[in-house]
Amino acid sequence: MSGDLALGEDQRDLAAMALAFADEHTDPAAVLAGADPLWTDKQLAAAGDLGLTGLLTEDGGGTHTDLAVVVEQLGRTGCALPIAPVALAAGLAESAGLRPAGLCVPAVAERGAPDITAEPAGDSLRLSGRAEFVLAGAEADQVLVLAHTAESSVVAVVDTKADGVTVTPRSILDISRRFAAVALESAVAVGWAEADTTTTREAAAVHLMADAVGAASRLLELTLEHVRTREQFGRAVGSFQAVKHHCANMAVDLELSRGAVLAAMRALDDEDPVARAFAVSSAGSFAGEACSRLAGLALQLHGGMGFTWEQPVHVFLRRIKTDELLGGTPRWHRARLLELTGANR
Amino acid sequence: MNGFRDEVREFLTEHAPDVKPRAGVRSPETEAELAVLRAWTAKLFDAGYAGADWPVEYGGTPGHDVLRDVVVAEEVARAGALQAPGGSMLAAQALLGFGTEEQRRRYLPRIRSGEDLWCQLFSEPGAGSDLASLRTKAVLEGDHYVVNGQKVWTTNGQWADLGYLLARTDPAAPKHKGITAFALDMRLPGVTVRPLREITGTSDFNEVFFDDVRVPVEAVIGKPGQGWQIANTSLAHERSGVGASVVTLERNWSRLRELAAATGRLDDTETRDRLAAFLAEIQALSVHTRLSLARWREGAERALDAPVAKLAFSELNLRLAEYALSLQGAEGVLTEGDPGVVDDGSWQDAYLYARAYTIAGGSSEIMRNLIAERGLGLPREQVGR
Repeated sequence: MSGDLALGEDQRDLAAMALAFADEHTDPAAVLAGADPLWTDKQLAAAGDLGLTGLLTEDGGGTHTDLAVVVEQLGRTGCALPIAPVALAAGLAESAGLRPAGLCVPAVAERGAPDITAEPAGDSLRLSGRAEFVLAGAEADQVLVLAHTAESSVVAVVDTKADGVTVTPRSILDISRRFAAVALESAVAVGWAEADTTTTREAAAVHLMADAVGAASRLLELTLEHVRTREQFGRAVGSFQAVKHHCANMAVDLELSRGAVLAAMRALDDEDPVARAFAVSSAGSFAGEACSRLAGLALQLHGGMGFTWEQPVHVFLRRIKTDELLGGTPRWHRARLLELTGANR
Repeated sequence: MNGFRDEVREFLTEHAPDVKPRAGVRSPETEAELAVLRAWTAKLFDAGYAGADWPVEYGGTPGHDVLRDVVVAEEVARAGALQAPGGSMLAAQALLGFGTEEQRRRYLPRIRSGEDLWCQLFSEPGAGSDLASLRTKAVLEGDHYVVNGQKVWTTNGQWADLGYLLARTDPAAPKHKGITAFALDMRLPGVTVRPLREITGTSDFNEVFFDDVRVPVEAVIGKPGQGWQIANTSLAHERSGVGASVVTLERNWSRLRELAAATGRLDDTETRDRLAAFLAEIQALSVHTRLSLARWREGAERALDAPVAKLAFSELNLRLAEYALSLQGAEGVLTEGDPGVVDDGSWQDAYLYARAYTIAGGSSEIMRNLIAERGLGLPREQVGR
């Protein structure tokens, strides 16, 4: 009953490998200094060599769960590399028979915002609409647009330099990753195909939550280390019951978030779309907020130090709040969750 | 396991006694209800749904899998049916693990048949979460121990035939080492049981007083001084019940949704948001519970697994009941008996009873300490400063 949920040996190995990789390719000082870009093509190529960005392709042979396991480690280290979007785009493009060139990431309208529309015009396809938060959008050569024609859902490859495409780097709460807005005004696709894009959309949300769980687990570790060593009134602050209870509440939020996200990861690899939506929105409702709550306590327990720029606490807090609000806000997921119970439970 | 689940469901539909639904673990209120509990206990054992983990020679199921206990507990909760008496089950585990052959032959068949109802005599007015500081004394005099002291929060104490007692036999030993476990006849002279009336207005718990109660040495379970170890080992068997708490939450959530519909609040955005938030949290707890049960079965349980589940359940259960009252608006103040009360006052009952879970079996504060100290490795509180 639970063996199907827990991570397997292979996935634990994958996590360890991804953690070592992400750790090696993350420079916290550069993040704090506001360096831009935060990663190089060479680093992304190295992730490719390890198979991380190709996990969802046939050659890669990985599952959505595998990818989420990797993403959790990116969150844990605060890594800027856009491994999840590149992997998602590669997997979806391949299954749709498309061959993007260069760096390609998905462009998808936020949950609750109007979908990007696609209009066939003779042999070509024109796309209009907005994707407000595209990870590595400014660095991408192409975007894989998830859009809808009047009849069906399509994926389309669009050059970011093409006419009708405007890419605007965004200034956001998270300083450890770079997002850009991609606006399409009758932009012409270089290739397109009808495709079922629901799993990719759900996966994008789950990866953000997996990232948050990773970041939250790091924050709990940092906090435990701090309260064990920091002394006040002649004793470690971690021996004070009030502090311990905050830490226990953080552990509860982390454990429950991890469970919710794990169920969502597993559901991505499941065929049943209703069960998938239910698991994804359960996680989207609970995990985002719980991880943010944990981050708030982490900062609180670091005291004044947590409020300083040099401490990494705020970097993770910013990242977790970003994960919470993108990919569907908790409110959006809750609204969907209740619709699902009415229709199908 | 799904075939087994269906089988249990069918059995419960057919045989479970029709009892008044109340929140939490409740004692019988009348002799008639007691008779129902005894008969039901026998049925559960006969069907192999209680005591399945016992050795085969005492009626256990060959090749028993603990997942079966989990399924039974979940389905009993889903059906809102009575459980086999907790005190009897706990005592049985102590006897199986540490009792003599003579004790097992004498007591176990009578537990199976429902003839003997046991209560658990652990907690004291001065020893709740800090159970090791219990003060009830048992002094050896010849071939008897003389017991003096007081217990409290004794579920079914007013009906019990036997008590699974922890008493201090060696005041000089360190506090965990001087405790002995007994199988105590509740009808012995000097045992006085006084029902407590609780916040819910009902009497599920009792105070039990021992005034020079003479207990034969044959009543000792295990060795003198081994009581603490015996108690902890038998308590560990309660793990299989954690799945049932998730089922209880799911059941309450469905009722909450019906309540929202009945009060015309189901289309209200704020109400929907709250309902969904509860549901998502229940799902998250459900996954945690399944994962920790799997770890427990594999012997890889982490120190924080059980306290996280207990803490999360009891706090969520309370918030859910509180929300149910607020959904009722001013009518939320009505209780059982009032003609205008919603659902026979079951939400008000649940709201009051929910407090038992955040206090009993280790309060939420104790759970947080366990998580922090044993689970996260934070330093122990410095006491006696």
